[in-house]
Amino acid sequence: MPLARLLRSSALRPRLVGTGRSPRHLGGDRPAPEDAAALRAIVSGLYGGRSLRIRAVDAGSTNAEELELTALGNAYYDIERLGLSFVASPRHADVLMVTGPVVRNLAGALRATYDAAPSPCIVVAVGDGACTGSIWKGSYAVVGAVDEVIPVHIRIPGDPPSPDDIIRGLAAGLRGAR
Amino acid sequence: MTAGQAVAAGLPGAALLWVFAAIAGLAARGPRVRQLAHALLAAGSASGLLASLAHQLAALPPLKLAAPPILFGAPFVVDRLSAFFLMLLHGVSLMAAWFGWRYGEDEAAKYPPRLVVPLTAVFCLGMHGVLLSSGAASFLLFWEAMSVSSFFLVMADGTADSRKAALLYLAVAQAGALALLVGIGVLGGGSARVTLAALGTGLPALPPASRTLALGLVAFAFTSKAGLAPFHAWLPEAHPRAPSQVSALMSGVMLKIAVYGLLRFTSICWPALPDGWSLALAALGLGGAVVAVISANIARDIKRILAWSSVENLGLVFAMFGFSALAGAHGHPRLASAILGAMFLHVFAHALFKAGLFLGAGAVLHGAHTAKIEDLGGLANRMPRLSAAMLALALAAAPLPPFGAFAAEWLLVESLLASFGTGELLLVAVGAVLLTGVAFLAGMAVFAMVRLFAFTFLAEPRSAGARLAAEPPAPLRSPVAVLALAGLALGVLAPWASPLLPIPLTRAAWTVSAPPAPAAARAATAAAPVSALPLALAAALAGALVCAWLAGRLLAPGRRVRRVRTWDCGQPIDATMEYTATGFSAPLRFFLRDIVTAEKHLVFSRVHPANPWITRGSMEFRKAAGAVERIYLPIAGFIEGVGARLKLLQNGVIQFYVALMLVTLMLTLWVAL
Amino acid sequence: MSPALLTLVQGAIVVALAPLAPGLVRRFKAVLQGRQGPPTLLPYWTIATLFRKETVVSQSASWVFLAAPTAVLASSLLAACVLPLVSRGGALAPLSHLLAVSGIWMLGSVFLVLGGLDPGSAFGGMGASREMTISAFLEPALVVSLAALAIASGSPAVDAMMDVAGRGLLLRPWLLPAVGGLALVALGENARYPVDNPATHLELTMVHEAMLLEYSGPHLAILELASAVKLATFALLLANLLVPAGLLRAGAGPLAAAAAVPAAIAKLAVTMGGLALVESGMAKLRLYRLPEFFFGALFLGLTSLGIGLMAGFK
Repeated sequence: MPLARLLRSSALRPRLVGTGRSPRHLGGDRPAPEDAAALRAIVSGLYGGRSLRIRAVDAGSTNAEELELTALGNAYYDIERLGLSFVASPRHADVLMVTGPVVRNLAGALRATYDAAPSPCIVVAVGDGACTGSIWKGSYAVVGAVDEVIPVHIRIPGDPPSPDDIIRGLAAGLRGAR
Repeated sequence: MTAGQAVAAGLPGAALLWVFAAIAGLAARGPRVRQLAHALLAAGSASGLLASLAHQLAALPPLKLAAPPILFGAPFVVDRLSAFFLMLLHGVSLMAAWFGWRYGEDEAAKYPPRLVVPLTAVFCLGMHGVLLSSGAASFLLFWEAMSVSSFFLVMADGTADSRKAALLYLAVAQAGALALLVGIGVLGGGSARVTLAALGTGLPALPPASRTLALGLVAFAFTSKAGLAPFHAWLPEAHPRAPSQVSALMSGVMLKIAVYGLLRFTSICWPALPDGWSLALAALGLGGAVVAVISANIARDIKRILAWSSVENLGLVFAMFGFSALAGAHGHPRLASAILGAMFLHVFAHALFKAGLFLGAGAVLHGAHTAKIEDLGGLANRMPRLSAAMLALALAAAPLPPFGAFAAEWLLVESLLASFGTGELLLVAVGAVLLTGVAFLAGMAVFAMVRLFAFTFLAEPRSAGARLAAEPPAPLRSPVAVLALAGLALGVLAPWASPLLPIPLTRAAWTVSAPPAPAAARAATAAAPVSALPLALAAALAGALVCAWLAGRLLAPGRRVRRVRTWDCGQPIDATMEYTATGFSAPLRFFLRDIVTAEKHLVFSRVHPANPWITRGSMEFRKAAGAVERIYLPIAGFIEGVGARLKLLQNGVIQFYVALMLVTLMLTLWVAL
Repeated sequence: MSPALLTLVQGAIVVALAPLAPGLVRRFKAVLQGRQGPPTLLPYWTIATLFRKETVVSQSASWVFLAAPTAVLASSLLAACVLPLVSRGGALAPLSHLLAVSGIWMLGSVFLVLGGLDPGSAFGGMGASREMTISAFLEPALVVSLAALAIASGSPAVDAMMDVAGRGLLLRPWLLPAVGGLALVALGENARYPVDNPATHLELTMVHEAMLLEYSGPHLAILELASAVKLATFALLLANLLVPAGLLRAGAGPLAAAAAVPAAIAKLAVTMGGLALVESGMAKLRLYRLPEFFFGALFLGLTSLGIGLMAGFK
């Protein structure tokens, strides 16, 4: 690896917030103003999100989103270069990535996870189900979108969103907050 | 009043007060008089403690106290060695009396106080007498008083298990006492008036076989009392059964009395112990300690864990004694006395922390009504003060800095390193084995003590008793805290503990090949006297703690703390899902399965003879044979077998008895003529 | 520079550089895996971020849980101050007695274990059980390995063992197994491969991480800092045993102190590179095979003693 690149990638600021490119699909999905204010407060409190640790929460997804989240860690997407990493406990998490329409049996678990995470905590709804309830909306087995259970700061639609979409969505959300 | 007068008044005064305590305890019908008895016990202990401290601190020569004519005229004498053990006895008995003041009343239904109070006084009196006796007859008498009273104390709660344990204890204790009697008889030429000091004089005249027999018998008497493997099986059975303050006395002091006896007899009779005996003591001590510390990690009753830990610590003491004797016999007196000093420091530290842990276990038992470690838990929230004291004691027992046992281990390791410098293969080999063994024991003891503390005090309570427990009252809590502080003080001030010990603490000379290093570089480490290091380490630890605390405070100002339930992955958990003490030591049991194991047999049989894939499995699981099964039961079986043979003589036929008498008469006549 | 100042400077440098150690090893591992990997300085940001967060504490936890991080950090800090890492002959150097050092580290492990058990989570209990087993079994290996070095240097203080480091090892090759044993102890004590997987997210395979699962915010920051300091301490100690160059002495000027920092960074980088190679080149051992690791480490130390005895400890 060339020394310059090594040094650049070792720089203090992770690349996530400063990519400069605009996300492809997410023009209409900027955070709502009140979410943006909350998110802005959180991100500025956490050193601009240079080091964020993610806890993935499955609230009843089809596992499609989980596959994409898993792909984030591989050598191609490598979210670690952005200062992001997945952790094993919500106690360690700065970001909860929630997938799936919240099914009734997991609503309590989702709430408990949110309670278990120390504030400030950014909640990201990943996938159509988490953002809106998608095709399961209104079903007797489903509570609905994540924001009906816990406050959501960033929404990343897609069924499922690709790892690219997830990274861009996160970047857009955090940049919007800055 | 001079120190000498204080000693001359204090020690007989203690005995007298204890006699009164025994009488008051016997006469007591209500709590008032019983409290008087406890007050007398405590007063006697305090008087004895002050007297023994005065003796040690004033560096008095051996003092004659009294020569009661009924004990064959041999006077009571106190010297540095006995005063050290007297100090331990009186210190621990003071705490035990303080604890028993309240504990005895609250647990009166379980342990009848009219039995426990007078017997405790007799028990203490017995140990007191053993330490002061200079005559063989009074030594034996008080030795028996100590054994028999503690036998009754072990079965004080009257349950079948306790009786069984007490009988095992009695059998071993009486076998030991018998061995001692015979040993003294052989050494003293059968005289009842012989003094201990005179036992050594006749020794060279004895034939070698008698000498070895006497040595073996005396060694058996003391090592079986002190719980040296393989004579230790009674100890983890008997010690936990007694009321907690008595357990503290038994583990904290009585075992040390046996060590005292061994030291006294060897110093008189065998100043130069033969190598074989030293090596045997060291090997049995270390081996027994290893087995005991693993057993401590498997046991599931707090007091049983503590009893196993006592076996471990006494094993270590014997190993130190054996190595010291070996070094002495090979012409390294400085090394020998350094190790002996470390041994006394360890004995001191063990008395403090073990008494404290037993009293603390009593307080836990008092609050939670169970000593089963799997049924406890959550007590740190319910008894914060007791838990803090117990944490300190557990760390002291571990042994970790900055407590007394760690200081002793420190001195020991320095001596072991110094033994490498002697260049003698035997010493180096034993030193290397001991070094490895001591480090292994330290690691395992940490494991056992962490397990003991964590599963008693941390997490959620696993039974109703533990859930409803509350902070024990101050009279139960304070002795534990005092002993914890004493252990801390001993650890911090170890370099200055020499005036209290029988011999001063020294550092072994270190004459290993010096490397060709610049003198200035070596001066940095060599200049500081090693003796001040425990204090420096304690201070540095305290400093580091303050730094760490300040760092946390400064870097996280205005810390918000929110309490939520334990992270459960969304599925509520309760105390039954906690890791158990058994599970905690599972890796250890697996790793050491070759040493102490349960025997597991897996048998697979085919369901259909032609099909190798579908099998029916069965597993058999049983505890592997321990010392009881391997040693005690065969001996018992042998004695029973002999008894059954002898019973043939007693067949109830009068003609047979007459014939026997006739044969005896004829044999006697034949021998006589 | 006075010895007291020397100790303080060493403590400050080691603590300041400590988060670099996990950052470097993660970075090197990522490079070996063909990834760009996290920024090297990320652990600093992680710790800083954690200090800004709320503390969430289990309802089951007691004062032990709250006190444990401070005790663990204190243990790491003290070890970082007494051992010859950046300097030699500091005021606390006599405290680098081999038994004191093992006691200090053991205290840290004990409190970590108690903190892991206190919330009553089965994950914490499992991690605690394993951590305690590892610490307990590595104790003899640590003591025996250091004892071999102590005999060679004629002093039980690790500080004086630097006399026989570097070229001294070549003069006394019987010490090499002890250094190897120490390296194995370092891997085990720091929860690295092949004893533990520091990057796992699966609770069932965790050792160190499982005990931290209940900690959050500043508590977690303190514990991460403590484990980084411990890693850096072991790394610098091993590096100094092999190459005892660039160590500050009493009387050194501020310029020398400034030069000690790049030297320490270089040592950290090299050891962490080696660690990354080890971790990328081998699989984690099954828990059940760990005794081979423990007794291997102990055996290396005893080998040193044995050969040393035959060589007359010269």
